[in-house]
Amino acid sequence: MTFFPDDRASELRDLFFESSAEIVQAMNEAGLVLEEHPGDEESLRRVRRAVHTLKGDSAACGFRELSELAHDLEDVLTPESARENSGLVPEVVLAAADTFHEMLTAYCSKLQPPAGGALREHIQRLLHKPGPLGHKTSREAKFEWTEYERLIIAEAFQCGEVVYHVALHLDPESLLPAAAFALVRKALEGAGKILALHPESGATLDQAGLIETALSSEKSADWIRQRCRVPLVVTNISVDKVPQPSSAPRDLLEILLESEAAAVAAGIGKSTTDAATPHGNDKSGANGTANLAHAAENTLRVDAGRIDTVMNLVGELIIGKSMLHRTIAEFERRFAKDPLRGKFSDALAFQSRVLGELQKSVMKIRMVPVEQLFRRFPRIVRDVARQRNKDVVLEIAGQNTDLDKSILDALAEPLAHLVRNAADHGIESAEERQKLGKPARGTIRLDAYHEGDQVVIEISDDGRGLDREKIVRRAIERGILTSEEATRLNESEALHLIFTPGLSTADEVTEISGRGVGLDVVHSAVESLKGSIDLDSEPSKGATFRLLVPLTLASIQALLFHAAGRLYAVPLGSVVEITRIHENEIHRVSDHEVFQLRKQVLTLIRLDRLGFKETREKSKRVFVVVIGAGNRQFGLAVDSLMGEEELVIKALEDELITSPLVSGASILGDGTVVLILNVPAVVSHLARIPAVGAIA
Amino acid sequence: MPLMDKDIQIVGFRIGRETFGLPISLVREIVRVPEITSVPNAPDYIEGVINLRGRIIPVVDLRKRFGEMIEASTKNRIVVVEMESRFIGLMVNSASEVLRLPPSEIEAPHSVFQDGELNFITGVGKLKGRLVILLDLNRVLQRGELRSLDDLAESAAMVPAGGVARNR
Repeated sequence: MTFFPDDRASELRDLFFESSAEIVQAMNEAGLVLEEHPGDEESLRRVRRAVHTLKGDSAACGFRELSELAHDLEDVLTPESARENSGLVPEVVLAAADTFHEMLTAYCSKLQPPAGGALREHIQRLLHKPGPLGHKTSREAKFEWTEYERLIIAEAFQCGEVVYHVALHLDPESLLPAAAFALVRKALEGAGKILALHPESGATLDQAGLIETALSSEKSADWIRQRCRVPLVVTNISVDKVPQPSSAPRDLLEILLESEAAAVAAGIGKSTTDAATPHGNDKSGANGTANLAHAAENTLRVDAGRIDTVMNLVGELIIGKSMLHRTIAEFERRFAKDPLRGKFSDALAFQSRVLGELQKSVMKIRMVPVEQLFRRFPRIVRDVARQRNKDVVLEIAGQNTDLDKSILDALAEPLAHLVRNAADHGIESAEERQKLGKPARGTIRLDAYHEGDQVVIEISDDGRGLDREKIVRRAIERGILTSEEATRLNESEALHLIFTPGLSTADEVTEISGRGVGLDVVHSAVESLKGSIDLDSEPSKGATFRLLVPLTLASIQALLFHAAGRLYAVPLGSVVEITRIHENEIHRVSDHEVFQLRKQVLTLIRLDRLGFKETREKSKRVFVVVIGAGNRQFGLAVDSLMGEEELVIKALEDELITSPLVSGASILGDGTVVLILNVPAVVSHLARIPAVGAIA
Repeated sequence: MPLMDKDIQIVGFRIGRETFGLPISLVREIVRVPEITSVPNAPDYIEGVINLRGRIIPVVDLRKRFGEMIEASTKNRIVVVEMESRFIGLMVNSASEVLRLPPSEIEAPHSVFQDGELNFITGVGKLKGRLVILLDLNRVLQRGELRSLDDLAESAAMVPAGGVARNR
């Protein structure tokens, strides 16, 4: 049942899917809290609110099955039944979150939603003692403003504005309270300046459907009443002019001081919410929705595509800048005495500065705190722990670390995999742990922090650690390397073998993890983000996976060089050092060319083996760019170095030219296209081809 | 139907001795050959990528695609086509002109074209005694081998003079 024409309806549906994902997340969080603290009333209220909103919204979007299920659930989730069945409730809530998620996914891809039989059973179990329904009271408007809001109202009076108290009752039958709220809010904004508004967002709208607001407007009360009468949504409006405060007008200085103090306080409040996350930073999870609703006020939802467009345009501007740069350099060469030169450079410097700021700001828009991702994991850990009968706690830190949204999205699966692995294979059973003298409860730690131009996401556990011997043995069994090669592996190389496809050290394949496809997928996902994985492990102390990913995928500082007669770039972040060696310092060890750098022996990579048609003759001395990928290092033979430049990355998407060896391309100031090498892929690609010398 | 009588506009270009054509609606522009950056591990007929006013697009060497000899010449051009929002450059010997073909002068591909490797042709146009081979771009850009131009020329010559007119 919809009141809206088609395009509105689809828009509404998009909104619904977006908001319902948050609702399901809120249910998950509340469910976990309820499990810890059975009968926590606040959490139960959150769940009820969430289910209620979901019921209404889904009905309005025509998703009948979901709406009915939510309705049934809402009926049984009363405080009474929660008190009587406090053990059962968290189970039901989590099951409901799962079922709703499945149904939403189905709706989203226009499939028949699952029936949710398991949830219905849960509901039936709760239903044998149904409590009374939550009754809808019609609350009277009280206009109880907070101190800060009172101050704003007082200020409005000071400025000679006319202030009205407007109370609106929403139609309790209205199916989309959040949308109705948005409509009313819009109407109010059209009628004047909103000084204070309760509730602040549709999500916290109570059942009575009362909206109170203090409105400053030049129009009459009647006009406002007319303006806010939104058909089908608002049932009752009262508009009252607020009398001037009867108390003698306070000393202006006092007001100013107070308002300044309030502004400072508000500023602090604001900056902490900023520094926290748009979705609130609640360790307890008890007031998550409240925070969420609050933050939503200052948050603008923008389609990621639009930001990408702006980002691309900024990218073009940067290319334009380097074009200008070159032209001006040329001009300076030709007309060394022209007074225009100085003006050109001034203008260019100014433009570069603004452009730099612009780029930073746009990039910031794309940044989201990793908390958005981390908040999914408590549920995953809880589920795995329960299934495997373990006691595991997940500690989360650094959730305010910002990361590019697309990187964050791409990391979701790999991270979930690692977390699941840690809980399933890493942490031992409680008995085993106690035997080893460890606390019975295992700990998994998630942490995120910035390190230079990169973001590090760390997953560590205090479990059994990785079995180096077993990994190597398995690798030999699978023919990934020979036992002779195995003896030459250092610690980290041995551990890195777990990222090889088809190698799983789990003895038993469980439902949760260890399906053979695993860590290699994690590895390639991280690699495709131009990131790398570090790995530490200590037997029976635990393992740590460190995912290093770039802050953003949009642009990089790159080192440009000629190799094999062509121009290439590699991310500057992966360059360890640049050195020069003589041809006869290069030695051949089995199929590889190696050279010695101080105490280290490094493999030398030559790009002319990448399958290009033409190659250049070798010079006697070669530049070697030493590159670090993960915790391995190797040398890249280059003909000449071209310096470093900021490159705006353009993906080589066309299927005709996609190559795993190239992570992207960029356009230089003179219009040349330069390829950005995906260094780890190049290394593993070349490792599979025997060196030129070996054939000869 | 008067609409049917309207001439079809074809961008003509030469590869070897043959004239090929693509509907003008597919062709974005024709550019001189700029510096081409080659891509590692790409198929042989992928010449590389070029910078088309800030856009990086792949260049397919149609001459190599049809097994022709390649001679670098100042006449060489890149025909930039747009397909399903992909931009692709096609390297050709030379681009000639916009040809107007009356629909009645376009023959459906002879049955020899329809099976196997030659199915990248949508039709053969006749213009002042000259044959214009109309390409099915999707097929041309698929990976895999195409028959060489010599075979193609033979088959094109086999098109019967009074073939069935194409319904378009």
